[in-house]
Amino acid sequence: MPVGRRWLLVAACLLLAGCGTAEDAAISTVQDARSAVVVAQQAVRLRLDTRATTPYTQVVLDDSLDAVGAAEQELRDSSEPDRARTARARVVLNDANTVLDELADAGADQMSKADLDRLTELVGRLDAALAELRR
Amino acid sequence: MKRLFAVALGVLTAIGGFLDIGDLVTNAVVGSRFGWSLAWVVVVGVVGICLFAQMAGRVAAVSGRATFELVRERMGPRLGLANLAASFLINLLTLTAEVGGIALALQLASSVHYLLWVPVAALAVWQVIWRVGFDVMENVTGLVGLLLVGFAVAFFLLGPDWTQLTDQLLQRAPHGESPATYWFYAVALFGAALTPYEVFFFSSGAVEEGWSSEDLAQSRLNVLVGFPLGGLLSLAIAGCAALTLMPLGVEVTTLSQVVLPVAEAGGRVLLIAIILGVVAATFGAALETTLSTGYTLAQFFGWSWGKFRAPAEAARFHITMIVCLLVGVAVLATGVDPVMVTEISVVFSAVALPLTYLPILIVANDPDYLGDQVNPRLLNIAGQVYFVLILVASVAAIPLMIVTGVGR
Repeated sequence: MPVGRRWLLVAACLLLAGCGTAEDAAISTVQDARSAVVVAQQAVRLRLDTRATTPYTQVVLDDSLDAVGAAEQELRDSSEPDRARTARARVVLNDANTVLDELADAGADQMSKADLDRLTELVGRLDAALAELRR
Repeated sequence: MKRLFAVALGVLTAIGGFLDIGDLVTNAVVGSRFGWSLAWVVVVGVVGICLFAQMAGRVAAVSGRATFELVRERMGPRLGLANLAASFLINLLTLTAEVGGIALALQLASSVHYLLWVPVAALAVWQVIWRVGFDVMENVTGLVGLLLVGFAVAFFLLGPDWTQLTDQLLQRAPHGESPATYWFYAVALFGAALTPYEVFFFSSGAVEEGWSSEDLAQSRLNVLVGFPLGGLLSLAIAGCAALTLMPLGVEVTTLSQVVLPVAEAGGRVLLIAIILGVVAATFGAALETTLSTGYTLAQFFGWSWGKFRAPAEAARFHITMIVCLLVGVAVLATGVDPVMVTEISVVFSAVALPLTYLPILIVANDPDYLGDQVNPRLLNIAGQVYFVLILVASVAAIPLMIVTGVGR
């Protein structure tokens, strides 16, 4: 077999192997959203302690909102066969989107202790959903 | 005294100029996912860039000619063209990532969306290349880039648990990470440390600054002191992420997450300093990559080149850079994530490494160019060992990227 064709075959096998390692979409999307929400929570905490600047906190909130949006999109595009699991993930991702959207809209300079509590509670909900999905 | 100042300045700019968006992002991603378990790759990468950068600097200082001028002459047009194609495309990708990095850093400072900063950043890069002298350009960005020392300050302020970090050093992939992902990031870190443009810029910069054999000692000092200290900053970035983000289960995906540990450790002042440092580091790297696109093409085709010449005397060199900047802006304008561009650029850098480093190794051994300044035996052995490593990383990079889905 010519060398070029052999390499093509190897590449095709690797590509298939890559497709085969696709993670559980419900878990991976909730995990991504959790990561984004935790960062937003930390940034708001630092902002309330006057250890982070307002523009920086705003960028973190916007980035986190984008990340949750991307997770929702990924879940929609996935071929997760278990509808109950998809529904569970969708609910918690929707919650995360709503909270982050409200906070990003309000602006980093308007953050209060109540907003930090909302984010902390949201992290708890995401953790609970992850634990449930992993069972 | 003047000599001492020049040496200190050279070393400081080498430290400040060592880090770019690829190093910042890759080290933070690795720190947040693997802790310090891939720190050995940074060490291996820094030794590699020291080896080859000082070879490239010596070639330029002794022969008075930059890498690409010699590549075509020494290796023939066919291999030279393969080298050119790979290096040029990687430079262009890295340039796109760096301009995106400037825009992201300015977004952190202003909260204005990064896409609005992209054309501003590209215009500023072009203006500096067009109007500012080589020395001023290199020294200012290198010195302001030194603000990234703030990562080392933050690392110590976070109170590292040395036992835990030592455990991580001896560990392979942490729980939940596959061996393939571990090796994918090992290759990415290696590619980030040995990015090809650094060598092109180093050797062409030596010609721009008119180095001769008498400057070899200073060139060695810049490389052998400045780059390892820059490598320590890479470890500090990974360490900050390992101490702050890893316990929270956060995997770095944005530049805002890279600097979060700094705010945690040092508050607003350190955060502002680091953001300024990131702007300077990415701006400096954008200047270097833009110049490198011009250098590679002009040196290969024998066009007039160099910032020491008026733009009218090196028109094709300047047009190449303008076109490359416009291509970078156009790519970013599609809305592609600059962090993703960065991650892909460091992997493809690893793929192209042999094409960049083999000619340097060959030319640095050629007495026709270097006379009695060819590589000594020990350096040659080290260079060959590294070339094998580079070859392995290059061959493994794309399969690992596919298998892991770009490190997912």
